[in-house]
Amino acid sequence: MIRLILLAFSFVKIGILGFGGGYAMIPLIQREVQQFGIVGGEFIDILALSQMTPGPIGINTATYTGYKVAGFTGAAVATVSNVLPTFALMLVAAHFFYAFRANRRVELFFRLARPLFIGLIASSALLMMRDIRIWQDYKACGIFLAVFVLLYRYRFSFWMVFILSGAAGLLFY
Amino acid sequence: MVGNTAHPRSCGQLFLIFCKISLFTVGGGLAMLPFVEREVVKRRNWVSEDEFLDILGISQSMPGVMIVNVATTVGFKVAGKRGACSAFLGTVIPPFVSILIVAHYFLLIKDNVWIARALNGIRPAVIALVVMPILSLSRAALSDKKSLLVPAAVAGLILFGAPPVYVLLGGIAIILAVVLRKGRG
Repeated sequence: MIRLILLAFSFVKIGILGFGGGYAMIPLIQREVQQFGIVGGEFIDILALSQMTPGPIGINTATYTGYKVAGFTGAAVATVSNVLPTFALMLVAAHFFYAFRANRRVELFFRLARPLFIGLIASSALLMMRDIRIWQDYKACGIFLAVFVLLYRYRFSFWMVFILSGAAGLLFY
Repeated sequence: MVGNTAHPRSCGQLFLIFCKISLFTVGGGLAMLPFVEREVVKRRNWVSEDEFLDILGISQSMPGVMIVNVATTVGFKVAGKRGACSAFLGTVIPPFVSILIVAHYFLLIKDNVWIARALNGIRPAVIALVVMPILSLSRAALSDKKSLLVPAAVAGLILFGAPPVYVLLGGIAIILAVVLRKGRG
C-alpha cells in the first residue's frame, strides 16, 4: 500500500512538472524510479521499449514502472497519476483557450525555457552514459557514435537503429 | 464559447480516432501529431489549421504528456467535456495495454543471455536517440556562447546529484521573474 502511494506521488510529480515534452521529462522519471529499484541499464531498456511500443514515452514509462513495482494495480496507479492531473489542468486551459493563445508572456516564457529543457535532456543522456560506463567500454562507445551518425546524417528510422544495434550487441558482447 | 456544440456521436468517434492514432504510431508523441492533424483538420474539419496550431501551442505550454494534452483540447473543442474525456481515454488506453503486455514478457526474458547481449548494443543506441532532440532544439535556442551556459549549468547540477525537480523548479522561477519584469516594462 505504501509503495502504491509512493508510486502515485512520484508520477503525479512527473506529470505536473513535465514541461517541454517527453524527452525533457526523462531526467525527472529517471530520478523518481530510482527509489523503486529501476537504475542504470534497466531504465535505458524501458526507454527502448517505450520507443518500440505505441504511445508516448511518458505513459509507457509510468505503466512499466508501476507494473514492475506492484503488478497490474501498480501499472494502473502510476499511469492514472501521471495523466490525470494534467488532464484536469487541460480542461481548465481549454476553457480559457482564446485568452491563453494570444498571450505574449507565455510565448516569451517558452522561448526562454528552451535552454533549460536542452540542459535537462543533456543531463539524462550524460547520466545514462555514466550508467553504462560508456567511457570504459569502447564497443558501446563505437555503437553510440555509429548510431549517432546513422540518425543524424542518414536519417535512419529508430526501428532500423534498434535492429542494427541489437545485432551489434549479439555480435560484440 | 468553445465546446458547447456537443454531438453525442462525435464522442465515440473521438475515442476511436485517438485510439487508432495512439495504437498505430510508434516512436513517441511527436510522431503522432501529423496523424492527428490529418484526422481532425483535413479529413473531418473539426478544427481549422490555425486552431490546430493554437491547440499545439497550448498543449506544449502545459505540463504533462503533450499528445494527451492535444487530444484533450481537440476533444473539448469538438464535444465539450465529454469529448475531452473520450479523446483522453482513446489516447491513454492503447499505450497502457500494449506496454503492460510488453512489460510482462520483457521482465520474464530480460535476463536471458541472448537478450542481455542484444540489450548491450541497444543501450548506447537509445542514448544516441535521446541526444537527437538536443541538437534540433539547440539550433533554434542557442544562438550565442552565453546561451550555452544555461544547459551546461543545468546538466552540471543534475550530474552532481541535484534533484532534477528542484533544478527545473528553480529554472522556471528565474524565467518567470524575467518574463514578469519584461512584461511590465
